[in-house]
Amino acid sequence: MLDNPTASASLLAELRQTLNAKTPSLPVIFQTGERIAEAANDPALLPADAKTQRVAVLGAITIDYLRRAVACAVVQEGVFPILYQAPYGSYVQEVLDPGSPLHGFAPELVVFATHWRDMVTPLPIGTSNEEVEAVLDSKVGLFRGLWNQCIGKGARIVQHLLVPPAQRYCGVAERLAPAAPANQIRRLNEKLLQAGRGLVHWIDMEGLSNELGFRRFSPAKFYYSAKLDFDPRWLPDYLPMFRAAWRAANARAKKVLVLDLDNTLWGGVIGDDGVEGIALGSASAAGEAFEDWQRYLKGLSDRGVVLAVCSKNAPETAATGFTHASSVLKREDFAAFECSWNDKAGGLKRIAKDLNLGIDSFVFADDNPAECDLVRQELPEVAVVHLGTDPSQFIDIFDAGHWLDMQAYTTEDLGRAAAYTARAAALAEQAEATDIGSYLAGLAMKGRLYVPEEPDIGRVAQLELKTNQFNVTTRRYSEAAIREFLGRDDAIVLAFRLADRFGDHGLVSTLIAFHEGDTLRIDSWLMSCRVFSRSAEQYILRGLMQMAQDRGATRLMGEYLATPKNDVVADVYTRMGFSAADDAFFVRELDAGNHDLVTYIAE
Amino acid sequence: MDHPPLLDLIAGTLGIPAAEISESSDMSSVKKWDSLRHVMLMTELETTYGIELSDREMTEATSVTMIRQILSQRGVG
Repeated sequence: MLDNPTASASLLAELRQTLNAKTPSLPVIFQTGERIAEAANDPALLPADAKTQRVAVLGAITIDYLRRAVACAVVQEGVFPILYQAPYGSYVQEVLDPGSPLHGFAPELVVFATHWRDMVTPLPIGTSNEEVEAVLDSKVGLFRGLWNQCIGKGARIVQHLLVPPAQRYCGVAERLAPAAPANQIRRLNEKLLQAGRGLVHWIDMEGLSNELGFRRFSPAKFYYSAKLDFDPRWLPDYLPMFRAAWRAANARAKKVLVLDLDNTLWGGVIGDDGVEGIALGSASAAGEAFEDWQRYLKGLSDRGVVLAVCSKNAPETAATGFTHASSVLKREDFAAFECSWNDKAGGLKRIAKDLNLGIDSFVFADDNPAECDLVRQELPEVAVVHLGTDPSQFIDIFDAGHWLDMQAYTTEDLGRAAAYTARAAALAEQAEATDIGSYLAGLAMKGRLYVPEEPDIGRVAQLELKTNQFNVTTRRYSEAAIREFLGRDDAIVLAFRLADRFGDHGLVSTLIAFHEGDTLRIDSWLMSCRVFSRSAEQYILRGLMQMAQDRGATRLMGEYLATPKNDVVADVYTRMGFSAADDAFFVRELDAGNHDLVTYIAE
Repeated sequence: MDHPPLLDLIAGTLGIPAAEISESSDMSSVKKWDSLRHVMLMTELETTYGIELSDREMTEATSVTMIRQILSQRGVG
């Protein structure tokens, strides 16, 4: 009777709007978190057509506040959480006991909120480094066991890094003692980060505590009176950090930063003030702040963030700002440059199309509140940062959003921005080339198809997690699963690298296949969207056909499982000369040769 | 310092209509004033009035009367 999906979908929209209108206060987080939990308890209120996720929050301390904050953060990301909170202090048992209520709940995401008091071992201060390391390794072993239990059941993991305590005992002497509580925790954080690479998505609570000051962040009275990890007044600062880890865990990382020009990258209006008139460089306080902000943005670009411009300006005058002697950023640092007098929502859509990237991977930063509001309304999937009017605060305001936080760097991240800029240049060439064949031939592409080695495995797992468009089955194999496949005789794991005359695109495609009788079945195949339509598909299949023949297989089988995002490969197997066996499977016999698979990529 | 009247602040923090809070309210008479929300109320008082409450004051501040008394001792209420 109460089954009304529209009402519940609008509940999600309403809650999301409440939380995203401005930074939510502690009482708003508390009360909204409660409403979310109540709605999840009442099946009639559950959004029928909105995406839901089963989230378990586990901790060594009181996590009632944290659970509410997690609920709000997941709603801010557009997903409705169904929450489970483990009884106080019971998280280890809950995870290790297969019959526990936690496993009955069957979480899709598990949040571990650890606490330093739980993790410090009382050791004599003179304990040797080797002994301390051994104690810490056993704690890492415990977590490894917990993670494996969760991952084995298909859950993703978000975990708090530990906050080292500020007790100073005998002062500087403590700094040099491995057994000192703060040193135990710092070292344990490092070990956990290493052990959890590719498995765990971290929230840097140590970073937040350092930023605010330990005694402000975590006054002991909250622990003594309510067993709270930190003063709940900082929950509004926790939300964006949780969201960053959540996006990493759910393959929704932001990749592109779109910037305005006037009063965002320099002070003043380039069209009115001219290159000499804008505030940039050490001649003024504001100019120095803009220069530093540009240096920060250049740093983001060096770390793989794709930069773009969306500005209301005449294109020919707009770019002259980057010729200013103090401009750190140059025109060629931007993969897209959208200057027009049209509205910015339209500009962002055009940039998404040019770069072939989902608009939900965009962050938009502007000094103008009206432009920010317009984009928030028209494109709720875009993260909007209103920079305000004081350039000395831009970096802090931008940082606080944690929009571009990453879990680890890979070599491909570090080359990505250059590859996209190269793609933009290639697109401009494409407009001039007369036909696609001569265009592709003119790119002078070189490819390499090979079995990935140790340094590549992190990137292969990252592609599995992040690729949404060219992903035929979206099975999302973990780093551990890929290692397992690499050790199996019946499995083939392949990586593909591509370079062209504009730049090195790095490791851009992976394929996993299984040899079953006379058939080689492609179980997973994905490709970075920046190299679509480059004839890489043909190149990879030619290589795979050779390998299949060498193994004595007589046919290839492909599988396509539709998701809301992988339309682009719905017909990939039919385009590649496979015939449909049924709704999901496609077959290509090997004896017919490979002459139809034309590629412009050389070895 | 610019902040809402105390009763509005308490009601807003507890998530109840202002009419449900009066000078004689305390933890035992207001259903939503539980131990979890009490901690939140204390941290909101600290932020709003720019003061720091001791462990003991947090334990004692369980009624509107006691909160007023503590704020006036601190010279902010």
